[in-house]
Amino acid sequence: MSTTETPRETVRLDAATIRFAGDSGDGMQLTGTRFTNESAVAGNDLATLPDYPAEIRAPAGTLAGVSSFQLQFAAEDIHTPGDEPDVLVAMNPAALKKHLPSLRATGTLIIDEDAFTSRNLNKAGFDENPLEDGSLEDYDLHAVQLTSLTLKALEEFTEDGRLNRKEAERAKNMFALGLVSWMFSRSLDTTEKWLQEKFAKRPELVEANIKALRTGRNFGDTTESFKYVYEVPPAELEAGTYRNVSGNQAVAWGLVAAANRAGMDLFYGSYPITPASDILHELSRLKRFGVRTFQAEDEIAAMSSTVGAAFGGALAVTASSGPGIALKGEAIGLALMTELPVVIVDVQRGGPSTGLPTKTEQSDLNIAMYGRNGESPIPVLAATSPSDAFFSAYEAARIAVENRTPVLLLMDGYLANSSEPWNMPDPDTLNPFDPQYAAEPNTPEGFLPYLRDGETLARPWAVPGTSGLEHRLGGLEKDGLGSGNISYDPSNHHEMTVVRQEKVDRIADRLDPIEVDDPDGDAELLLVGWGSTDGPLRSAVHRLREDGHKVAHMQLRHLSPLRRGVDEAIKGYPKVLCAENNLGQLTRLLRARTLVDIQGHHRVTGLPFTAAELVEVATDLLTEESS
Amino acid sequence: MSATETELPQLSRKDFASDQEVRWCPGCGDYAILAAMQSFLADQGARPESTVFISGIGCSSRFPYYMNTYGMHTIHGRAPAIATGLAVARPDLDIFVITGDGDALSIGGNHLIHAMRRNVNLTILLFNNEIYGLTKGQYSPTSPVGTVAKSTPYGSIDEPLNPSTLALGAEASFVARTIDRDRNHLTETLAAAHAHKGAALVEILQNCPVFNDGAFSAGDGS
Repeated sequence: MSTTETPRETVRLDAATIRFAGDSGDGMQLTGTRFTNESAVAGNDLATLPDYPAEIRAPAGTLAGVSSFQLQFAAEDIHTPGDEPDVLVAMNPAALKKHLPSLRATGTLIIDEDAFTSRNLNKAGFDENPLEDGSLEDYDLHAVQLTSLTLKALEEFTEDGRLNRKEAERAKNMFALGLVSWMFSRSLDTTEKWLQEKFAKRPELVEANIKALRTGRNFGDTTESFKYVYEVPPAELEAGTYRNVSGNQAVAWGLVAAANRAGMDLFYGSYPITPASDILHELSRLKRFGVRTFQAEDEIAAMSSTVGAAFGGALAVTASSGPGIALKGEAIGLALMTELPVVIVDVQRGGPSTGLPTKTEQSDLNIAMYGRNGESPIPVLAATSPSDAFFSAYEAARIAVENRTPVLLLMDGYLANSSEPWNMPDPDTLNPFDPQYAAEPNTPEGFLPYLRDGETLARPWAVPGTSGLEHRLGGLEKDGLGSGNISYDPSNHHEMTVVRQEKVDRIADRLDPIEVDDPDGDAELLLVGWGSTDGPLRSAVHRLREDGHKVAHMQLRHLSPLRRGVDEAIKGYPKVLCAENNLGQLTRLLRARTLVDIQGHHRVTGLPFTAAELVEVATDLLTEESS
Repeated sequence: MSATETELPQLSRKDFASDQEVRWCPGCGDYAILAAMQSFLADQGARPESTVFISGIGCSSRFPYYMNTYGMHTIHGRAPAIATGLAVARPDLDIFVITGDGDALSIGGNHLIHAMRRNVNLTILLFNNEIYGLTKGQYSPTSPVGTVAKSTPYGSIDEPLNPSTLALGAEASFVARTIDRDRNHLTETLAAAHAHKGAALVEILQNCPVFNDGAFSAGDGS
């Protein structure tokens, strides 16, 4: 298909942010994903932000049922899905009501005029029709009869009965996609190809959707409503094989890579839960890499099964979200006590209890650090971007295996579902690690399962099937002599508790020290974050420096143990601001360690930070009178 | 495998006994089950290195410590789930689950029924003494209605579970019941369960001489 010739002026942009918003049944996630793939194929850097309700189909037309998908695509390296959309596509009044406040002033607004019925306006809480009361006049408004134009274009299908009206109407998202694709000079080829594969068994749907898609494009081209078309040139990215990867996919692949590089079998036991289930879906397809997945009867069994698989010598992994992590605490404690390597992935969502299943939050840091009975230290990591989830999962597996300990990897709903182009590494470049299964007795008298390595304090890992190394593990306290035999001796318990903490602390000896981004070394403010706030913080730091402020940035990926140098960095700056999507869990932890009066910026609205809000908070802090 | 097996020496009961002192109460039915198991494994030609005992919590769950095989004394009720993970990762192993009436049917009921319906290759030995022993004498999910125990001074009011019919309801592919003091019947039942490929549930009626003595004595004059 040739690119449409257009007499209009083409405006080149460095970056653009689009948000598609509509009813849960309008196919907005799909529309956004397709535009994302078109952008990836066009060579843009990009970041996405899907945001959808927990209900599969909330009542149509209501605010509760609005589903949206935002993406930023750029000709440069970007770290966030964009603060304010430049273009908002609103398929009904509820979508407009919910998302108009975030549209950039004078931004482009594309609306399905047909959906602005009095009934829908009423459901969305509009007293007046915003298309008629002048309230939208500051925007570049395009009220398009998306539904009726789609139906009209597909009349041939409904008339001869190949499609019913409802099926034809559902193609309106393709009309919208065609229109927006035209606006941004996108080829429709990848989407058409995708439609052909997706509906291979229903050629009439392929044909109808392609028709709707092209009709949308042609509508943009022929109406004089649109003054400009835009072009976002390809980003200059390093050569390589790029894939568009979501955080959950990256976790799955990182685990497979780790098992492969360690020469281990991957066992994954889990129970379905939003937003972690996609890891199970992804891994269950990867049997060819020696992956075994087990859908357990509950979260407790999921965690327990990993302990059993680890006892058998597998790289054993489970994942869940907050409610499931709460249930797993008991068996995580068993893994800690038996010193078996397991990886627990927590894809955080809004809590407490069932909370906000589909919304992102960073409020499980406390449960990750402390959510078990007794003194129960385990290493905790947090992935910083969708593609970093690959390396963080790999790192979590390595730390678990080398140190014989459960490791908790914190993800969140945003990282899990957000995607970005990723230059896949050559697996051979990943540092291999060795499970070092015990093969023979470690003393002349026989095998002692808790005889620790003098440096790492890790115990030997003997797996069933190894003759002469038979031993028993358990959750009860054991003596300090290495046998694993039960001991109720009070001073022994104290000693063992200290040893278990020391074992985790010493992992920091083998990590690189923390790197602080402070080019001139004279920043007045240190911005601290962990996990997924990396993108917005980096963007904010960039803008603050452009504004002439001297700021430094420290992002924590290893939360327990911390890399060396974190405390010193915090003590070394006049002001410190810790931003996190909770009410201050890391802030309190760092304050307790350093006794520094760290300021916090905390928000739990189910969405990641925008760079703009971080710039504002940091600027306030930098300009306030020091007392 | 068979070529090397013929070269291995015949093991005796003692080869399956660990160096740990057995600490059940004097007269506990568990002693008889332990002795039967150790002899049975030796007679079967089982190998200690490929035999695993996974237990939960309770008096019976101390069992793995006394077996010179691989073993795990885990957490309350979760042994079937832990054993399932091990069986999925290592189908080559011979895995026994040791559990009690409280462990298997109360706190771990969900894991037990799912291990049976999935037909995981496990031999599950449920020591049923109709009482909580380790926590010192509360009524259990198999205690008959009217059981006067520490937590039910006026007699229990709820109907007990029948482990065997529960197992049948969960579509277990092997269900048997035996008793601690009939050594021959116990050994034969263990052998049949062990020979079964898939989930085998063996309910072993087991006397607790301290908290529920004589629960299974009716009619035999002992």
